[in-house]
Amino acid sequence: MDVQIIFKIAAVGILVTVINQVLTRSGRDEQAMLVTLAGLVVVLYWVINYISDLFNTVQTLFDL
Amino acid sequence: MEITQIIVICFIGVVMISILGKDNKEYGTYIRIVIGVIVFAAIFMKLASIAEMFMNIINKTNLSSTYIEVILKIIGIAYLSEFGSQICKDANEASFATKIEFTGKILIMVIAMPIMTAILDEVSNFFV
Repeated sequence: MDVQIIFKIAAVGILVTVINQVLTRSGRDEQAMLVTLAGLVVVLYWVINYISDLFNTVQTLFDL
Repeated sequence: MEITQIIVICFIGVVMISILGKDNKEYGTYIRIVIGVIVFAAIFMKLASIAEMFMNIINKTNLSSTYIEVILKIIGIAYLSEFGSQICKDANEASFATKIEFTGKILIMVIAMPIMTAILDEVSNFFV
């Protein structure tokens, strides 16, 4: 029951927001979009493992 | 007790989502999904022991265990469709939620169909 994942996701979210503000203020909007996408993909990679675990456990438990 | 852990985890999630604010809502959705998974993982052992207890009871009374399996399948489908539709509702996508629930209902009907036909056959035998 690891709770760190919640803090990691929140940290990535805050980091991406800050970097976005810095990049947009300095006029580099493309990089800001890229940073947003990168943050999303990283967190999606973590979350996908959790989702597949959930679906596997539910399927084995209820033998769907 | 587990209930306090679950409550604390959900409070952490609420605080984290409020920290993230409304400009990056996608991370909020990720946090909601992850908390759903963590809570299920926490309570999973209890659920497994309940299911096992049911199976033992059914085996003792040498009833046919198809009914309990169908019930467990229906509970599983109901849980998954509920999980999915709640996540969609939190993300303000009520239309996806209704679609998931509709699919869940149809699947439950499909699984429950053989039992209903069996019952109807039994009933019809009485009247013949």
